[in-house]
Amino acid sequence: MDSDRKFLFYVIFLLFSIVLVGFLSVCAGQVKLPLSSVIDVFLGKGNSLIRTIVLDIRLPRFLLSASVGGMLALSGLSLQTLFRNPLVDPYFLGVSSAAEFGVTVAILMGVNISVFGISFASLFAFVSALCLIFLLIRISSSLGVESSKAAIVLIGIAISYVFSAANNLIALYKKDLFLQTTFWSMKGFNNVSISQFYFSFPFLVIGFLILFANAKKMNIYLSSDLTAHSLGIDIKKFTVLMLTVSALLTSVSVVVSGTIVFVGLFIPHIGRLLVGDERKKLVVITVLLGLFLLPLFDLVSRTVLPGQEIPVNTIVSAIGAPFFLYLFLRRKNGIH
Amino acid sequence: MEYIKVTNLSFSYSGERDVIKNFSLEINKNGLYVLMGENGSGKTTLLKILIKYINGYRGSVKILGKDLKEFSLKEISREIAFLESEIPEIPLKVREVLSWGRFPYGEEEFKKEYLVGVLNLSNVMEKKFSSLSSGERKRVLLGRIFVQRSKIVLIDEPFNFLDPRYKIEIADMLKILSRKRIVLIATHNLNAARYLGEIIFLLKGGELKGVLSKGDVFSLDAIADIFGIKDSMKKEFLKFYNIE
Repeated sequence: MDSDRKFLFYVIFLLFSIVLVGFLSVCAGQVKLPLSSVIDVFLGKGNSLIRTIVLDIRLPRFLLSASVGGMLALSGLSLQTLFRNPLVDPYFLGVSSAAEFGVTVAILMGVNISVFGISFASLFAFVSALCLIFLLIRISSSLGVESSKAAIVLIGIAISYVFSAANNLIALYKKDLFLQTTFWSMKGFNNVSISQFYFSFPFLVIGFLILFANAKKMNIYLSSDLTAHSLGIDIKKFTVLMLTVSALLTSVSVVVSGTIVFVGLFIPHIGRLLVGDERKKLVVITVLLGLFLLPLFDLVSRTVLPGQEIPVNTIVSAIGAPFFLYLFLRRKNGIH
Repeated sequence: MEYIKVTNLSFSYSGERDVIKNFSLEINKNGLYVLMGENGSGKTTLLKILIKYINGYRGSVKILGKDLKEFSLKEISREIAFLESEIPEIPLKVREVLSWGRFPYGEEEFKKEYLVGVLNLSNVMEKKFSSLSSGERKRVLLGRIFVQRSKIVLIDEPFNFLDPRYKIEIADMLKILSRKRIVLIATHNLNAARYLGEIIFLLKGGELKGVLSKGDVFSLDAIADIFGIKDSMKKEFLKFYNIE
């Protein structure tokens, strides 16, 4: 099969799978709903209990987990492109520890309001992550082209250590606060409201459009800074763009669902195994895989044990990692 | 018209000693020009300045009659095609890499048959660049440069990684290319410089030490000085390079 037809096949297959997982997510759970009553709800019929389960609980949960999956996958892809390194993941820049620090501070301040369904703690986490992004960009654009990328990595790592030191110090004196922060960062997709989806979805769409529009540049950038520059790509601007897209998508996903491991690292890899490194195709496949796989893992996490929910991170690691290894080892050539 | 005019150019990396010292050069017509010097003589730095990869130089640089500082990055990438000496790892298909020659000015169909024929790339077009041998990769990258159709072509070490057969064929391609464009190559390869260069600029320690034209006799002392050959090694040097 030639590569264009293969690509088209994967796109159609993934779109179909996303819809399928969507229906399964809405039907399956403690209360099993037949497909017909779910369709009734979408047609504006059905009783109020079923309407509540579908429209207020399960649908928001599916939509949010899908958009977080898409965001983390794209975030991972843009960082892996920026560093020309397939082993980089979205939390590499210290975004999640910055967000956790923001939550800790917010809880310390004791403000308990929410804006558009997003808690003050989450908003503070977002602001804290934005400050980190701003700092990284300022530093990277003040440095020369050749030293900036190594600097971003080092600064990201250093800052995340500082944040976790601060968190640990606070934990030493306020143990219940530490528990609250940890709980916040592991919240996954429990108690999801549709407003979290409305908050995150525009970021996913914009992030996707930016990456898709810059796919050709991303391809050329894969060669080297010098070659990309000679072909008219401003390396500094490109670095700032990739960094901003990645860090924003990660921050938003941390704010709505805490830290979800592994997805941002391995989904771009699966995409690469399916369609290769060409960025126009890879960006599309990566976002679709994110939209499909994270809700699938979430569905498994809340249905595999009757009456009990397993943290989605556990499922991601337990299913995702072996599946990834299988895909990886099946290919003879390994990494590209 | 002055295609490339460099006047009293000096440059140093962040306050260290000058790697380009008071360098001047003028190229007024199409042809094949060679910057020759040992490693570290400033050849690559000079090329990087010409494509605006390095800024903060002293002196003046004019490209096609216009000051380099007035060019945007996009404009300069239209006027100058550049090939670095390193071969990057590119995990993409050869077809994609060749198409970059038309970036950022549209994907207008390039003469694939010509390229594929001369560079012998027909059976690698659908292969991944990073899976090719070094010589094949070099040919693909040169192909990308040829596609670019810019007025000025800068190539850093065009003959690295090539078998003798492709060295000769690419040398001939460069000659053909230079009929309608300015081709400036940087090399420490003495034989290639002598074979190709209509004008050879001799560089040492960032300074212009001399200019040789086609047909000029290569003076042993001048060449030995450029490459820092000791007196005791001059005889071996003569034999190795078959210099009269």
